[in-house]
Amino acid sequence: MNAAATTVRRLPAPVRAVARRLPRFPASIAFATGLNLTLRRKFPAEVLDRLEGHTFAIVVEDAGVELLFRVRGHRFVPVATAAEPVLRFRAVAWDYAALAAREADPDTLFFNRRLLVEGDTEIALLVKNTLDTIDIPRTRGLLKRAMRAVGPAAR
Amino acid sequence: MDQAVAPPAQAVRRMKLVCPAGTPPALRIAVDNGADDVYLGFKDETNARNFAGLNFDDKSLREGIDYAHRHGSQVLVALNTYPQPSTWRKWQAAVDRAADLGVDAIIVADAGLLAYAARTHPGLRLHLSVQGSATSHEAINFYHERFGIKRAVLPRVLSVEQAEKAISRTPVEIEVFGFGSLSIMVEGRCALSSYATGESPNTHGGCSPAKAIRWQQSPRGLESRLGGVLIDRFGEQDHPGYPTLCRGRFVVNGDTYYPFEEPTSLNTLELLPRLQAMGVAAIKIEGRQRSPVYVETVTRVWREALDDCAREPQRFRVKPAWQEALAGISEGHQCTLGAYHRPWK
Ligand code: SF4
Repeated sequence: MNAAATTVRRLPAPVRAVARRLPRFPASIAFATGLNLTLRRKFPAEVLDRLEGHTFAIVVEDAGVELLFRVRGHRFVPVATAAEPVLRFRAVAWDYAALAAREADPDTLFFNRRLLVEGDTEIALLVKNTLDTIDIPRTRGLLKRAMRAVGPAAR
Repeated sequence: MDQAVAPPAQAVRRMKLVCPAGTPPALRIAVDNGADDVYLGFKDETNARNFAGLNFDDKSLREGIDYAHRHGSQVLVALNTYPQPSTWRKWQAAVDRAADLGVDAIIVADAGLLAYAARTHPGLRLHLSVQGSATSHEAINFYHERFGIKRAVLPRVLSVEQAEKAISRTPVEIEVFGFGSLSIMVEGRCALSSYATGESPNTHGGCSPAKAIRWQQSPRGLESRLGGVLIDRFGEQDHPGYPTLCRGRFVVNGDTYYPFEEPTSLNTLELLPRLQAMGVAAIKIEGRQRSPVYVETVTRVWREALDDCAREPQRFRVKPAWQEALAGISEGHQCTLGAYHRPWK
Protein backbone atom coordinates (compact mmCIF):
# COMPACT_ATOMS: atom_id res chain seq x y z
CA MET A 1 0.00 0.00 0.00
CA ASN A 2 1.05 3.50 -0.69
CA ALA A 3 3.73 2.35 -3.08
CA ALA A 4 2.25 4.98 -5.33
CA ALA A 5 3.89 7.56 -3.11
CA THR A 6 7.42 6.43 -3.72
CA THR A 7 8.09 6.43 -7.45
CA VAL A 8 6.66 8.62 -10.18
CA ARG A 9 5.19 6.47 -12.91
CA ARG A 10 4.52 8.01 -16.27
CA LEU A 11 2.57 6.68 -19.18
CA PRO A 12 4.73 4.74 -21.64
CA ALA A 13 6.03 6.94 -24.47
CA PRO A 14 3.81 5.47 -27.22
CA VAL A 15 0.69 6.02 -25.10
CA ARG A 16 1.81 9.57 -24.38
CA ALA A 17 2.30 10.21 -28.07
CA VAL A 18 -1.20 8.97 -28.90
CA ALA A 19 -2.81 10.79 -25.95
CA ARG A 20 -1.28 14.11 -26.96
CA ARG A 21 -2.88 13.86 -30.39
CA LEU A 22 -6.36 13.08 -29.11
CA PRO A 23 -8.90 15.87 -29.50
CA ARG A 24 -9.57 17.51 -26.15
CA PHE A 25 -13.28 18.03 -26.01
CA PRO A 26 -14.25 14.35 -26.59
CA ALA A 27 -11.94 13.43 -23.70
CA SER A 28 -13.81 15.88 -21.46
CA ILE A 29 -17.12 14.43 -22.65
CA ALA A 30 -15.99 10.90 -21.83
CA PHE A 31 -14.68 12.01 -18.44
CA ALA A 32 -17.85 13.90 -17.46
CA THR A 33 -19.93 10.90 -18.55
CA GLY A 34 -17.81 8.66 -16.38
CA LEU A 35 -18.26 11.00 -13.42
CA ASN A 36 -22.03 11.03 -13.90
CA LEU A 37 -22.11 7.24 -14.00
CA THR A 38 -19.86 6.54 -11.03
CA LEU A 39 -19.98 9.51 -8.67
CA ARG A 40 -22.97 11.75 -9.24
CA ARG A 41 -25.46 9.81 -7.16
CA LYS A 42 -22.90 9.40 -4.40
CA PHE A 43 -22.30 13.12 -4.00
CA PRO A 44 -24.51 14.60 -1.25
CA ALA A 45 -26.97 17.18 -2.62
CA GLU A 46 -25.56 19.94 -0.40
CA VAL A 47 -22.09 19.35 -1.84
CA LEU A 48 -23.40 19.52 -5.42
CA ASP A 49 -25.21 22.74 -4.45
CA ARG A 50 -21.91 24.21 -3.30
CA LEU A 51 -20.15 23.13 -6.53
CA GLU A 52 -23.00 24.33 -8.78
CA GLY A 53 -21.88 26.57 -11.62
CA HIS A 54 -18.17 26.03 -10.99
CA THR A 55 -15.76 24.74 -13.62
CA PHE A 56 -13.00 22.26 -12.79
CA ALA A 57 -9.87 21.37 -14.73
CA ILE A 58 -8.02 18.09 -14.42
CA VAL A 59 -4.65 18.25 -16.13
CA VAL A 60 -3.12 14.87 -16.90
CA GLU A 61 0.46 16.00 -17.23
CA ASP A 62 1.99 12.98 -18.94
CA ALA A 63 -0.87 12.67 -21.42
CA GLY A 64 -0.82 16.39 -22.17
CA VAL A 65 -4.58 16.46 -21.67
CA GLU A 66 -6.75 18.94 -19.81
CA LEU A 67 -10.21 17.65 -18.89
CA LEU A 68 -12.75 20.38 -18.26
CA PHE A 69 -16.19 20.06 -16.75
CA ARG A 70 -18.75 22.17 -14.94
CA VAL A 71 -21.35 21.23 -12.36
CA ARG A 72 -24.79 22.24 -13.66
CA GLY A 73 -28.13 21.07 -12.33
CA HIS A 74 -26.36 18.51 -10.12
CA ARG A 75 -24.71 16.94 -13.18
CA PHE A 76 -21.16 16.99 -14.51
CA VAL A 77 -21.20 18.71 -17.90
CA PRO A 78 -18.15 18.79 -20.22
CA VAL A 79 -16.94 22.20 -21.36
CA ALA A 80 -14.62 23.07 -24.24
CA THR A 81 -12.74 25.98 -22.71
CA ALA A 82 -12.55 27.72 -19.35
CA ALA A 83 -10.67 30.92 -18.65
CA GLU A 84 -10.55 30.55 -14.88
CA PRO A 85 -11.68 27.24 -13.40
CA VAL A 86 -12.42 27.31 -9.67
CA LEU A 87 -9.91 24.49 -9.26
CA ARG A 88 -7.19 23.08 -11.45
CA PHE A 89 -5.54 19.79 -10.51
CA ARG A 90 -2.26 18.66 -12.06
CA ALA A 91 -0.81 15.17 -11.77
CA VAL A 92 0.23 12.23 -13.93
CA ALA A 93 -2.33 9.61 -14.98
CA TRP A 94 -0.91 6.97 -12.65
CA ASP A 95 -1.28 9.19 -9.59
CA TYR A 96 -4.87 10.06 -10.47
CA ALA A 97 -5.62 6.37 -10.84
CA ALA A 98 -3.90 5.64 -7.51
CA LEU A 99 -5.98 8.34 -5.81
CA ALA A 100 -9.21 7.01 -7.30
CA ALA A 101 -8.31 3.44 -6.32
CA ARG A 102 -7.36 4.55 -2.77
CA GLU A 103 -3.82 3.38 -3.31
CA ALA A 104 -2.36 6.83 -2.64
CA ASP A 105 -2.92 9.51 -0.03
CA PRO A 106 -3.79 12.92 -1.50
CA ASP A 107 -1.98 14.93 1.19
CA THR A 108 1.15 12.85 0.63
CA LEU A 109 1.04 13.49 -3.11
CA PHE A 110 0.51 17.16 -2.33
CA PHE A 111 3.44 17.28 0.15
CA ASN A 112 5.54 15.58 -2.55
CA ARG A 113 4.54 18.13 -5.20
CA ARG A 114 3.03 15.36 -7.29
CA LEU A 115 -0.49 16.66 -6.97
CA LEU A 116 -0.71 20.39 -7.63
CA VAL A 117 -3.92 22.18 -6.77
CA GLU A 118 -4.60 25.75 -7.86
CA GLY A 119 -7.65 27.75 -6.90
CA ASP A 120 -10.22 27.85 -4.12
CA THR A 121 -8.88 25.93 -1.11
CA GLU A 122 -12.27 25.62 0.55
CA ILE A 123 -13.79 23.90 -2.48
CA ALA A 124 -10.66 21.78 -2.89
CA LEU A 125 -11.02 20.51 0.70
CA LEU A 126 -14.73 19.93 0.25
CA VAL A 127 -14.09 17.87 -2.89
CA LYS A 128 -11.25 15.92 -1.26
CA ASN A 129 -13.22 15.14 1.89
CA THR A 130 -16.34 14.22 -0.09
CA LEU A 131 -14.35 11.83 -2.29
CA ASP A 132 -12.94 10.31 0.91
CA THR A 133 -16.46 9.51 2.12
CA ILE A 134 -17.58 7.84 -1.11
CA ASP A 135 -17.59 4.07 -1.45
CA ILE A 136 -17.31 2.72 -4.98
CA PRO A 137 -15.79 -0.69 -4.26
CA ARG A 138 -16.47 -2.19 -7.69
CA THR A 139 -14.94 0.69 -9.62
CA ARG A 140 -12.00 0.74 -7.22
CA GLY A 141 -11.48 -3.01 -7.58
CA LEU A 142 -11.42 -2.70 -11.37
CA LEU A 143 -9.00 0.20 -11.20
CA LYS A 144 -6.67 -1.67 -8.87
CA ARG A 145 -6.63 -4.65 -11.17
CA ALA A 146 -6.00 -2.45 -14.19
CA MET A 147 -3.14 -0.72 -12.36
CA ARG A 148 -1.58 -4.04 -11.50
CA ALA A 149 -1.85 -5.15 -15.12
CA VAL A 150 -0.29 -2.04 -16.64
CA GLY A 151 2.00 -1.24 -13.69
CA PRO A 152 5.19 -2.70 -15.16
CA ALA A 153 4.72 -0.62 -18.32
CA ALA A 154 4.29 2.68 -16.47
CA ARG A 155 7.68 4.13 -15.65
CA MET B 1 21.04 -19.80 36.13
CA ASP B 2 17.39 -20.70 36.48
CA GLN B 3 15.46 -21.50 33.43
CA ALA B 4 14.09 -18.29 31.92
CA VAL B 5 10.49 -17.76 32.83
CA ALA B 6 8.38 -15.54 30.63
CA PRO B 7 6.92 -12.65 32.62
CA PRO B 8 3.15 -12.88 33.05
CA ALA B 9 1.45 -11.26 30.08
CA GLN B 10 -0.78 -9.14 32.29
CA ALA B 11 2.21 -7.65 34.17
CA VAL B 12 2.08 -4.63 31.87
CA ARG B 13 -1.15 -3.25 30.65
CA ARG B 14 -1.50 -3.41 26.89
CA MET B 15 -1.69 0.10 25.45
CA LYS B 16 -4.74 0.93 23.40
CA LEU B 17 -4.48 2.25 19.88
CA VAL B 18 -6.65 5.32 19.30
CA CYS B 19 -7.09 6.16 15.61
CA PRO B 20 -8.62 9.13 13.78
CA ALA B 21 -11.61 9.03 11.44
CA GLY B 22 -12.80 12.02 9.44
CA THR B 23 -15.10 9.92 7.27
CA PRO B 24 -17.01 6.60 7.47
CA PRO B 25 -14.52 4.77 5.20
CA ALA B 26 -11.68 5.93 7.47
CA LEU B 27 -13.56 4.59 10.50
CA ARG B 28 -14.08 1.20 8.89
CA ILE B 29 -10.46 1.02 7.75
CA ALA B 30 -9.23 1.91 11.25
CA VAL B 31 -11.43 -0.82 12.74
CA ASP B 32 -10.39 -3.36 10.09
CA ASN B 33 -6.73 -2.69 10.79
CA GLY B 34 -6.97 -3.12 14.53
CA ALA B 35 -7.77 0.23 16.17
CA ASP B 36 -9.03 -0.27 19.74
CA ASP B 37 -10.69 3.15 19.76
CA VAL B 38 -11.70 5.37 16.85
CA TYR B 39 -12.24 9.06 17.53
CA LEU B 40 -14.29 11.40 15.36
CA GLY B 41 -16.39 14.57 15.44
CA PHE B 42 -19.69 16.04 14.34
CA LYS B 43 -20.01 18.20 11.23
CA ASP B 44 -19.66 21.53 13.04
CA GLU B 45 -17.44 23.69 15.23
CA THR B 46 -17.98 21.51 18.32
CA ASN B 47 -14.76 19.72 17.38
CA ALA B 48 -11.24 20.84 16.50
CA ARG B 49 -11.23 19.49 12.93
CA ASN B 50 -14.12 21.47 11.55
CA PHE B 51 -13.52 21.22 7.79
CA ALA B 52 -15.97 21.17 4.89
CA GLY B 53 -17.03 17.68 3.87
CA LEU B 54 -15.41 16.07 6.90
CA ASN B 55 -16.94 14.41 9.96
CA PHE B 56 -20.16 12.63 10.86
CA ASP B 57 -23.88 13.27 10.94
CA ASP B 58 -26.22 11.21 13.13
CA LYS B 59 -26.83 8.56 10.48
CA SER B 60 -23.19 7.96 9.61
CA LEU B 61 -22.25 8.01 13.29
CA ARG B 62 -24.92 5.44 14.15
CA GLU B 63 -23.66 3.18 11.35
CA GLY B 64 -20.07 3.77 12.42
CA ILE B 65 -20.78 2.83 16.03
CA ASP B 66 -22.57 -0.28 14.87
CA TYR B 67 -19.66 -1.30 12.64
CA ALA B 68 -17.07 -0.63 15.34
CA HIS B 69 -18.98 -2.52 18.03
CA ARG B 70 -19.53 -5.52 15.79
CA HIS B 71 -15.76 -5.71 15.35
CA GLY B 72 -14.80 -5.06 18.96
CA SER B 73 -13.72 -1.41 18.66
CA GLN B 74 -15.00 1.63 20.53
CA VAL B 75 -16.07 5.02 19.24
CA LEU B 76 -15.08 8.25 20.96
CA VAL B 77 -16.63 11.57 19.97
CA ALA B 78 -14.50 14.69 20.23
CA LEU B 79 -16.43 17.70 21.56
CA ASN B 80 -13.19 19.46 22.25
CA THR B 81 -13.72 23.12 21.42
CA TYR B 82 -14.97 25.78 23.81
CA PRO B 83 -18.60 26.93 23.74
CA GLN B 84 -19.26 30.64 24.14
CA PRO B 85 -22.20 32.03 26.13
CA SER B 86 -24.09 32.55 22.86
CA THR B 87 -23.31 29.06 21.51
CA TRP B 88 -23.61 27.03 24.72
CA ARG B 89 -26.78 25.23 23.63
CA LYS B 90 -25.18 23.86 20.49
CA TRP B 91 -22.40 22.18 22.48
CA GLN B 92 -24.87 20.97 25.10
CA ALA B 93 -27.02 19.44 22.34
CA ALA B 94 -23.92 17.76 20.88
CA VAL B 95 -23.27 16.03 24.23
CA ASP B 96 -26.88 14.80 24.27
CA ARG B 97 -26.65 13.58 20.67
CA ALA B 98 -23.46 11.64 21.38
CA ALA B 99 -24.97 10.08 24.50
CA ASP B 100 -28.24 9.18 22.74
CA LEU B 101 -26.39 7.58 19.83
CA GLY B 102 -24.56 5.33 22.26
CA VAL B 103 -20.93 6.42 21.83
CA ASP B 104 -18.41 4.81 24.17
CA ALA B 105 -16.96 8.09 25.43
CA ILE B 106 -16.83 11.78 24.67
CA ILE B 107 -13.60 13.75 24.60
CA VAL B 108 -14.24 17.14 26.18
CA ALA B 109 -12.14 20.19 27.01
CA ASP B 110 -14.52 22.74 28.54
CA ALA B 111 -15.14 22.42 32.29
CA GLY B 112 -18.73 23.61 31.96
CA LEU B 113 -19.45 20.99 29.34
CA LEU B 114 -17.79 18.30 31.46
CA ALA B 115 -20.02 19.31 34.36
CA TYR B 116 -23.10 19.21 32.16
CA ALA B 117 -22.19 15.77 30.75
CA ALA B 118 -21.40 14.31 34.18
CA ARG B 119 -24.67 15.64 35.60
CA THR B 120 -26.96 14.78 32.69
CA HIS B 121 -25.43 11.52 31.48
CA PRO B 122 -23.83 9.90 34.52
CA GLY B 123 -23.23 6.66 32.62
CA LEU B 124 -21.33 8.37 29.80
CA ARG B 125 -17.57 7.89 29.92
CA LEU B 126 -15.64 11.17 29.88
CA HIS B 127 -12.17 11.73 28.49
CA LEU B 128 -10.36 15.00 29.04
CA SER B 129 -9.27 16.34 25.66
CA VAL B 130 -5.75 17.51 24.93
CA GLN B 131 -7.51 20.84 24.39
CA GLY B 132 -8.22 20.85 28.14
CA SER B 133 -4.51 21.65 28.61
CA ALA B 134 -4.03 19.55 31.75
CA THR B 135 -0.27 19.27 32.07
CA SER B 136 0.05 18.14 35.69
CA HIS B 137 -1.40 15.38 37.88
CA GLU B 138 -3.01 18.08 40.03
CA ALA B 139 -5.03 19.34 37.10
CA ILE B 140 -5.94 15.82 35.94
CA ASN B 141 -6.97 14.77 39.44
CA PHE B 142 -9.12 17.86 39.76
CA TYR B 143 -11.07 16.85 36.64
CA HIS B 144 -11.28 13.33 38.01
CA GLU B 145 -12.65 14.39 41.37
CA ARG B 146 -15.08 16.94 39.97
CA PHE B 147 -16.34 15.19 36.85
CA GLY B 148 -15.17 11.60 37.13
CA ILE B 149 -13.06 11.64 33.96
CA LYS B 150 -11.70 8.20 33.09
CA ARG B 151 -8.95 9.21 30.71
CA ALA B 152 -6.89 12.33 29.99
CA VAL B 153 -4.95 13.14 26.82
CA LEU B 154 -1.64 14.84 27.58
CA PRO B 155 -0.57 17.86 25.53
CA ARG B 156 2.27 17.26 23.11
CA VAL B 157 4.55 19.64 24.99
CA LEU B 158 5.47 17.33 27.86
CA SER B 159 8.74 15.41 28.07
CA VAL B 160 8.72 11.69 28.86
CA GLU B 161 9.77 12.43 32.45
CA GLN B 162 6.95 14.90 32.92
CA ALA B 163 4.42 12.46 31.48
CA GLU B 164 5.78 9.69 33.73
CA LYS B 165 5.41 11.87 36.79
CA ALA B 166 1.79 12.69 35.93
CA ILE B 167 0.97 9.01 35.34
CA SER B 168 2.44 7.88 38.65
CA ARG B 169 0.26 10.31 40.61
CA THR B 170 -3.16 9.89 39.09
CA PRO B 171 -5.73 7.10 38.92
CA VAL B 172 -6.87 8.46 35.54
CA GLU B 173 -5.84 6.57 32.37
CA ILE B 174 -3.32 8.59 30.40
CA GLU B 175 -3.35 8.84 26.63
CA VAL B 176 -0.41 10.35 24.74
CA PHE B 177 0.14 11.33 21.14
CA GLY B 178 2.17 8.78 19.21
CA PHE B 179 2.12 9.96 15.65
CA GLY B 180 1.05 12.81 13.39
CA SER B 181 1.30 16.54 12.96
CA LEU B 182 2.80 18.43 15.85
CA SER B 183 1.37 21.30 17.83
CA ILE B 184 4.06 23.06 19.76
CA MET B 185 1.88 25.09 22.12
CA VAL B 186 -0.16 23.71 24.95
CA GLU B 187 -3.30 22.95 23.01
CA GLY B 188 -6.37 24.81 24.17
CA ARG B 189 -4.25 27.77 25.18
CA CYS B 190 -2.93 28.68 21.74
CA ALA B 191 -4.66 31.47 19.87
CA LEU B 192 -1.74 32.18 17.55
CA SER B 193 -3.65 31.42 14.36
CA SER B 194 -6.40 33.90 15.26
CA TYR B 195 -3.97 36.75 14.49
CA ALA B 196 -4.06 35.69 10.84
CA THR B 197 -7.52 34.14 10.54
CA GLY B 198 -9.60 36.18 12.98
CA GLU B 199 -10.86 32.92 14.48
CA SER B 200 -9.49 31.02 17.43
CA PRO B 201 -9.03 27.28 16.92
CA ASN B 202 -10.39 26.80 20.43
CA THR B 203 -13.81 28.13 19.53
CA HIS B 204 -14.04 27.58 15.76
CA GLY B 205 -12.25 24.26 15.42
CA GLY B 206 -9.24 24.83 13.18
CA CYS B 207 -5.82 26.52 13.04
CA SER B 208 -5.93 26.89 9.28
CA PRO B 209 -9.55 27.26 8.16
CA ALA B 210 -9.78 26.60 4.42
CA LYS B 211 -11.33 29.97 3.69
CA ALA B 212 -8.19 31.67 5.03
CA ILE B 213 -5.74 29.53 3.02
CA ARG B 214 -4.29 30.49 -0.36
CA TRP B 215 -1.80 28.41 -2.32
CA GLN B 216 -0.24 30.30 -5.20
CA GLN B 217 2.44 29.50 -7.71
CA SER B 218 4.68 32.57 -8.00
CA PRO B 219 7.89 33.07 -9.97
CA ARG B 220 9.76 32.53 -6.71
CA GLY B 221 8.02 29.27 -5.81
CA LEU B 222 4.82 27.85 -4.39
CA GLU B 223 3.52 30.24 -1.74
CA SER B 224 1.14 29.45 1.09
CA ARG B 225 -0.77 32.23 2.79
CA LEU B 226 -3.04 32.26 5.81
CA GLY B 227 -5.36 35.25 6.05
CA GLY B 228 -3.05 37.03 3.61
CA VAL B 229 0.07 36.38 5.74
CA LEU B 230 2.84 34.66 3.78
CA ILE B 231 3.49 31.44 5.71
CA ASP B 232 6.12 29.83 3.51
CA ARG B 233 7.52 29.65 0.00
CA PHE B 234 8.58 26.32 -1.42
CA GLY B 235 11.13 25.64 -4.15
CA GLU B 236 10.93 22.68 -6.53
CA GLN B 237 12.63 20.35 -4.07
CA ASP B 238 10.81 21.51 -0.92
CA HIS B 239 7.91 19.65 0.65
CA PRO B 240 5.01 21.89 1.58
CA GLY B 241 3.18 21.35 4.86
CA TYR B 242 -0.07 22.56 6.39
CA PRO B 243 -0.11 26.37 6.49
CA THR B 244 -0.35 27.20 10.18
CA LEU B 245 1.39 30.20 11.73
CA CYS B 246 3.42 27.99 14.04
CA ARG B 247 4.96 26.24 11.02
CA GLY B 248 5.67 29.50 9.18
CA ARG B 249 9.06 30.58 7.88
CA PHE B 250 9.60 34.20 8.78
CA VAL B 251 12.27 36.88 8.63
CA VAL B 252 13.50 37.50 12.17
CA ASN B 253 16.33 40.00 12.66
CA GLY B 254 17.37 39.55 9.04
CA ASP B 255 17.41 35.73 9.16
CA THR B 256 14.77 33.65 7.39
CA TYR B 257 13.88 30.50 9.33
CA TYR B 258 11.15 28.66 11.22
CA PRO B 259 11.10 30.57 14.53
CA PHE B 260 8.44 28.34 16.12
CA GLU B 261 8.64 24.90 14.60
CA GLU B 262 9.92 23.12 11.50
CA PRO B 263 7.15 21.38 9.59
CA THR B 264 7.81 17.91 10.96
CA SER B 265 5.71 15.05 12.25
CA LEU B 266 5.77 13.39 15.61
CA ASN B 267 6.73 9.71 15.59
CA THR B 268 7.32 7.96 18.92
CA LEU B 269 7.63 4.33 17.79
CA GLU B 270 11.05 4.01 19.38
CA LEU B 271 9.67 5.14 22.76
CA LEU B 272 6.98 2.44 22.90
CA PRO B 273 8.61 0.12 25.48
CA ARG B 274 9.27 3.09 27.74
CA LEU B 275 5.74 4.46 27.38
CA GLN B 276 4.32 1.02 28.08
CA ALA B 277 6.48 0.53 31.16
CA MET B 278 5.45 3.96 32.46
CA GLY B 279 1.84 2.87 32.39
CA VAL B 280 0.56 4.87 29.42
CA ALA B 281 -2.95 3.56 28.75
CA ALA B 282 -3.44 4.62 25.17
CA ILE B 283 -1.57 5.98 22.15
CA LYS B 284 -3.29 8.52 19.97
CA ILE B 285 -2.75 8.94 16.26
CA GLU B 286 -3.36 12.44 14.93
CA GLY B 287 -5.06 13.08 11.58
CA ARG B 288 -8.83 13.24 11.32
CA GLN B 289 -8.31 15.50 8.30
CA ARG B 290 -6.35 12.77 6.49
CA SER B 291 -7.55 10.23 3.94
CA PRO B 292 -8.53 6.58 4.51
CA VAL B 293 -5.19 5.60 2.95
CA TYR B 294 -3.32 7.47 5.70
CA VAL B 295 -5.51 5.91 8.40
CA GLU B 296 -4.95 2.45 6.96
CA THR B 297 -1.16 2.83 6.81
CA VAL B 298 -0.77 4.30 10.29
CA THR B 299 -3.20 1.91 11.96
CA ARG B 300 -1.59 -1.14 10.38
CA VAL B 301 1.93 -0.10 11.41
CA TRP B 302 1.01 0.95 14.94
CA ARG B 303 -1.11 -2.14 15.57
CA GLU B 304 1.84 -4.34 14.69
CA ALA B 305 4.24 -2.24 16.74
CA LEU B 306 1.98 -2.18 19.83
CA ASP B 307 1.45 -5.94 19.62
CA ASP B 308 5.20 -6.54 19.31
CA CYS B 309 5.83 -4.26 22.26
CA ALA B 310 3.19 -5.90 24.45
CA ARG B 311 4.54 -9.36 23.62
CA GLU B 312 8.23 -8.76 24.19
CA PRO B 313 9.07 -5.23 25.30
CA GLN B 314 12.73 -6.06 25.95
CA ARG B 315 13.25 -7.27 22.43
CA PHE B 316 11.20 -4.55 20.77
CA ARG B 317 12.88 -3.09 17.69
CA VAL B 318 11.43 -0.51 15.35
CA LYS B 319 11.24 -2.19 11.95
CA PRO B 320 12.64 -0.20 9.03
CA ALA B 321 9.52 -1.10 7.02
CA TRP B 322 7.35 0.66 9.64
CA GLN B 323 9.44 3.81 9.50
CA GLU B 324 9.42 3.77 5.73
CA ALA B 325 5.64 3.43 5.59
CA LEU B 326 5.16 6.24 8.11
CA ALA B 327 7.72 8.56 6.51
CA GLY B 328 5.83 8.16 3.23
CA ILE B 329 2.70 9.76 4.65
CA SER B 330 4.22 12.29 7.05
CA GLU B 331 3.94 16.01 6.80
CA GLY B 332 7.32 17.60 6.16
CA HIS B 333 8.97 14.23 5.49
CA GLN B 334 10.81 14.38 8.77
CA CYS B 335 9.86 12.79 12.03
CA THR B 336 10.86 13.87 15.52
CA LEU B 337 10.25 12.79 19.07
CA GLY B 338 8.84 16.25 19.72
CA ALA B 339 8.96 17.34 23.33
CA TYR B 340 9.16 13.77 24.65
CA HIS B 341 12.88 14.02 24.15
CA ARG B 342 13.99 17.44 25.23
CA PRO B 343 17.08 18.48 27.15
CA TRP B 344 15.37 21.52 28.67
CA LYS B 345 12.15 21.45 30.65
S1 SF4 C 1 -1.29 27.42 15.77
FE1 SF4 C 1 0.13 25.69 15.82
S2 SF4 C 1 0.80 25.57 17.95
FE2 SF4 C 1 -1.07 26.80 17.93
S3 SF4 C 1 -2.71 25.28 18.33
FE3 SF4 C 1 -2.49 25.53 16.08
S4 SF4 C 1 -1.12 23.87 15.49
FE4 SF4 C 1 -0.90 24.13 17.72
